[in-house]
Amino acid sequence: MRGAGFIAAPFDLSEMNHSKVRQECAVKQSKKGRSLEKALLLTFIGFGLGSIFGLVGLILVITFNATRVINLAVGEFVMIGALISAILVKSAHLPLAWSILIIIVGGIVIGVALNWLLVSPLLDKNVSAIMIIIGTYAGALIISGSAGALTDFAYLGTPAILPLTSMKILGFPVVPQYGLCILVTIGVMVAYWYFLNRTHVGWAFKATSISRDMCRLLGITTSRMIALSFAMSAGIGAVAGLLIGPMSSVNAAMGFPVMVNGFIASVLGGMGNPYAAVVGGWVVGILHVIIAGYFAPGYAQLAVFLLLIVILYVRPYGLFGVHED
Amino acid sequence: MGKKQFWTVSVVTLLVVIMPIFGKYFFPGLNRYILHVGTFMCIMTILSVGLHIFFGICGQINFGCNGFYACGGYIASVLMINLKCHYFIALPLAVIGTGIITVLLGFAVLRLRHWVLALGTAAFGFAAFIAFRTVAVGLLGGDDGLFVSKLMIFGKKAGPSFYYYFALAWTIISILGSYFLENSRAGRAMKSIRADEVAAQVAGINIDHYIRMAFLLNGMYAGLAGALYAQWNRGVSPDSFTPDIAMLVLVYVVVGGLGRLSGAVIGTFILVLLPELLIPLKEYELLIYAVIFFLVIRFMSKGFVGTVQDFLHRRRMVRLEAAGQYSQG
Repeated sequence: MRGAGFIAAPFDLSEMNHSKVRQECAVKQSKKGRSLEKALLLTFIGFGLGSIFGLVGLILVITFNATRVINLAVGEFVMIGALISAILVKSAHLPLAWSILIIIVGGIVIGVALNWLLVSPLLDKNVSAIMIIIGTYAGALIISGSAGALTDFAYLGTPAILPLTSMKILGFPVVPQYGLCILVTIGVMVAYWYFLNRTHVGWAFKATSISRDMCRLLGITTSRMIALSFAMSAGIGAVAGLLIGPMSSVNAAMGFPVMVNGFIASVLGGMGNPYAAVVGGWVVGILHVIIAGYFAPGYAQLAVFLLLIVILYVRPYGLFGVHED
Repeated sequence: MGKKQFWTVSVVTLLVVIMPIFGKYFFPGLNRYILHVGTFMCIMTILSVGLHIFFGICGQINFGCNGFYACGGYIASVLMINLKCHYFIALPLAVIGTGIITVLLGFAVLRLRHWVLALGTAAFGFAAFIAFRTVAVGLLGGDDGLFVSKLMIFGKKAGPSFYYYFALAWTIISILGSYFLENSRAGRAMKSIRADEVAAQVAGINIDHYIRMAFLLNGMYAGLAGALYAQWNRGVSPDSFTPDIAMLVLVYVVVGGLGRLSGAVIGTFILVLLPELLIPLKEYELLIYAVIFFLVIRFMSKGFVGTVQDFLHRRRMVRLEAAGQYSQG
């Protein structure tokens, strides 16, 4: 149907992975006594994948705390990061540091533009939150639509920064690229904690998330804080895109499923708590990979949604969330 | 309903009823296409009116319309294929079946509010989409979906104009249902829940009951739309029920004008027609659509209907002031 298939995003995040890694697992399974190793490897991959979901959840929470609006365009930040890295590698053979810089700057430009064109004006107009949320969805459509028009929605490949094959460190099976994901996520978490609790701007930022009106009275430029939140969120998202690129099929429509999983991660942890979002991401990622590894990959995403419904039933405000009004 | 509104609605209804006849004589080559778009528009209108009950009147967010839509379509198809039900029996059964699923889901998600509810329902929509692709492939057909044989009425094959009028009749029934609901006791209770839940509770309204009722109506409307779609499309496949549908329906309701029945209908009309007009733009279709949608959100945050009403109201005030009949003091 026309108008219905705009984002033809199949939910293939479960299959996006590691066909290589899964083959290895199958080979290992055939040898006896390696089931423990398979379980460990899958858990590790789950942690790595979950770190990316956690990062997406984290950037969702950063803007949510500053604006009380759920930004449905976070997946597009990730998409931009992955796409720019693919294009940079294909056409210009830049050293890694330079391409990381360009990716982060590209992400920040997109994020700040979204804030400047849509979110801040609507926040000033005092329209209802749902309207702004739908506005960010429109922004997401524009970003993925223009990226798609530029790249023809083609699937691009990005090379991995570290190898994607499993190796053993101290007896534990490890995939270096996923290890990098975990390390970067933990690094971002620590940096964000430091920013919030040990810097002046961070305090102002935290205050903005508590009460915007009060902050304005105290002389904090809240619009600048909101712009900062979008810049941070888009920059981190672009890095997440750089990391996830090698494991998934990179194209202009990849943002939506990534956003959905990040959203689930943040709600699972408890919306509003950035660290809980990462933990939620790990839960989602491990469930994903375990189901995909031991059962059919098609069931992985289904299991995540069912887990979400169950958790929302048991704990409506997430694992670490508190009820707030 | 005022006299003016009554006439407007009557004229619009007459226009959509005679549209196929008009098309037959003036655009004979395009008639099939016009009927196709018209039928699709009717189905989407039923979906968005259903969402209007839950979201516009009752004030709760539902991102999972595509799940109910898919349930309606699949239940009708399975009944027709495996149990050899006639379509006119399968249709109400599909609506009832979707209603039962909605009630069961309601137990799980209706204690949530705001965006958590949005995500809970969205999870159902996504889960349904994936489940119809992967679960029970023998019964539900997996990725390929199900194929329904042509509908026979009195030994004749039903043509596109039959489907158009059939869907149109259901659309009018749905719109009337929503209209009368809005002005009934239950509708007023739902509106008070939208305004303030605590105040509604204090006023003695059983909010759980009315939210459940609105959710059930939303699900049944979507199930009806799915059942209509299943026969019209001669089958269902998961690709017809992607989560985009839920987003699109939400966009129809909001862009038309949240909380207004006319907003839901007009929003659907404009936004279903818009992509059809943008077809010649090919790869820029999505981009242009997104830009228009973005501009509407940015500059008309009350939706089409709200903005137009505001404009008319302001103009009337200016006129009255000029005539000296109205003063601010």
